[in-house]
Amino acid sequence: MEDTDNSQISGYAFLEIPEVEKYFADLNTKLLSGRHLQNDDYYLFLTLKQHEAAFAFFYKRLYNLKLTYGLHDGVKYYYLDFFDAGKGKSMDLSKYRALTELQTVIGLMLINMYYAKYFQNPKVITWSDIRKEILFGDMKEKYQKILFEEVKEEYVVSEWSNVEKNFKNTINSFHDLGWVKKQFQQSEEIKFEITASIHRLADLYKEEIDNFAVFTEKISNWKEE
Amino acid sequence: MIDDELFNQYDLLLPSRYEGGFLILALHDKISRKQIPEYFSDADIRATLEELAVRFNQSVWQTDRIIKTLNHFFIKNVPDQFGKYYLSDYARRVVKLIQNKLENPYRNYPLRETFQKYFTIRTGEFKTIHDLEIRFGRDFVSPYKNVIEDHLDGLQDELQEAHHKLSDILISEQLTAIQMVHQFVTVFSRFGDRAEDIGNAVHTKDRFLVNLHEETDKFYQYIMEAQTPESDEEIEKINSLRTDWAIASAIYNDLSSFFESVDQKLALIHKQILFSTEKLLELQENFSTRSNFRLAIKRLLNRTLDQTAYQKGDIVFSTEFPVKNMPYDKVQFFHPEQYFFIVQKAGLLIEILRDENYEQEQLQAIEQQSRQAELINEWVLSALDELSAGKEIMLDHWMNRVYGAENSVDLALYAGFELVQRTVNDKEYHVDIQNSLETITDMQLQLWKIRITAKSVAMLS
Repeated sequence: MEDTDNSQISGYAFLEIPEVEKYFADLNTKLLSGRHLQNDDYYLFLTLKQHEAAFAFFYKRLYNLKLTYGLHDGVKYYYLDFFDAGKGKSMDLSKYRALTELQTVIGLMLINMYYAKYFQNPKVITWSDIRKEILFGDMKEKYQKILFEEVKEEYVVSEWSNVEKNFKNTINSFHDLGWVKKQFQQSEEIKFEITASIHRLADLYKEEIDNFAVFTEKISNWKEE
Repeated sequence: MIDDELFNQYDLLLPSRYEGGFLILALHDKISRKQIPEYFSDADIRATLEELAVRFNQSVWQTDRIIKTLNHFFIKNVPDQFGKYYLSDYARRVVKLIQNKLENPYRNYPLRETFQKYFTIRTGEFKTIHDLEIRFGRDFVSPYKNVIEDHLDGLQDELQEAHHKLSDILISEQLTAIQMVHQFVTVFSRFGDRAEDIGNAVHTKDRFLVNLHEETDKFYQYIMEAQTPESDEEIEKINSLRTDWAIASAIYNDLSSFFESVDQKLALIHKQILFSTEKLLELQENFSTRSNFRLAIKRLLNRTLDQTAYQKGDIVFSTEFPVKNMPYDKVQFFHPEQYFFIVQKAGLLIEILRDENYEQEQLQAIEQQSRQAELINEWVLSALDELSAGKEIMLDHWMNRVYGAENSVDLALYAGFELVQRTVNDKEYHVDIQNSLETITDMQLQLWKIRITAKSVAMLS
């Protein structure tokens, strides 16, 4: 981690600095609830950036968590991670949360869509984009199989409404994580902007991506058994 | 405001594809290829319509109705030759307009050259206002303006097209990385050229406006240089100069506002180019990484979907599929419905133990005080009785008596005071106070010599 901040301040003394004092409660709650903080949380991001080492020390000593950052398309985002990646299971149950199947699938789908909109800024996704992906995209049959139980020519409104509900809930949770910026109310149609921090999900699967052959083999072995 | 006529005639002015739109395009094409003559026949129209019907999988059109529609603006009857038609000028212009939109003729022609060609001023070019008007008057300059506008439209279309191409390069999987980069460089270099061309064009245009301003200013100078008019002839001359100046400044204003709108369009295009360029530069640096990463994500998503199944409105992974954890330690605040901020202290009962000595002391003190009051009262009453019996009381002697009996200085003193109090304001008694001190030795007191008597007694004596 970079040591760009007021490194002369040691221990917990940084908590006495007025701007840290002002933003600490908000910053701490958000980081601990899994949020990825980037430029649009301007003051929180700035405070964290200026006292990066002090905050890192704080989380290491008091929570045994690593304050780290990702960098994607020129956008930097901070978040808390485990020191020993993936070993969260051995910890206190109340201290971590597993991504749900829906979060994982929809998250990967969104990273994929991020690149389809690579030359656009901001990268705004609407419910119609998602429907198009499910109905006409490269992987339409696979999407339909898991979202609707069976692949059909057409789906009725009630079938769509369950899928929409699943997407809405997932997008809401991504909004809290800082992976997307929601632009709709619960009763409105889905519309949001994908932010660069969605790539954190790809980081979580880095090992699988880097050793894809091993990963595939592991899964197919299980199937054969 | 568009007039109603335009709305009413719209379908005739721009017929839809199967109402003659396609037919005009096809006829125009055939004429330009010399497949049919300029003056074509009914039979040519029918044959063309049949070809179109086959090509677009349509049933045969109602030829007569279509001819009737087109006869308004698009095709004209050849005079004296029944059943022969020709394409109207309007039809040719519409087709040309559509073709230009799709294949802009200025696309590969630098914008700066267009500017220079139409908007350059040579020194001493305009001797009279007539020269200036012919060159840049509103009516004369309008075709040049159109050319510039077509140019800008073409540029914008081209940018949009390039934008789509770029996105396609990034998401196409069939091409190898090298081919992708090659394609991308071609598109990119065109952007660069365009940006440079726009810069040059703006420069040319700015210089033109400065020159034009100088030229139009000359007409103002002519007015200033003219002598104050005296004769009718001179007045007429100065008026004519004024008219010239008005025309010149109108020309300048017209072109300057035209270029202002050109400026705005150019700025917009420039901005688009900059954003795309920025993204492209980023991409150029790490193109293969980015494209590989994208493929890896797609592969992972594909595999993830294979390991996922529908289950009661939700989805589940196969047991082997790795689920990822993230730190989550939500800080929760519980809000009680009511909160008493002012805590009342519990009332402690302290049992005070009985202090008997203190009680006795206090009882004695009280008893003594009341006994003293009683004694004083008794003494005063007896003194008053004595007075009524005609005796006189010398206060010092009387107090001495009280002291002798009760053995208390306080009691004797208070009794003395009380007696004086009772008698001094009472009309029945006479209190005689003499200005000489009497000493009561036993009590170590000194007081005025006071003699108290009852009045009736005093009178008797």
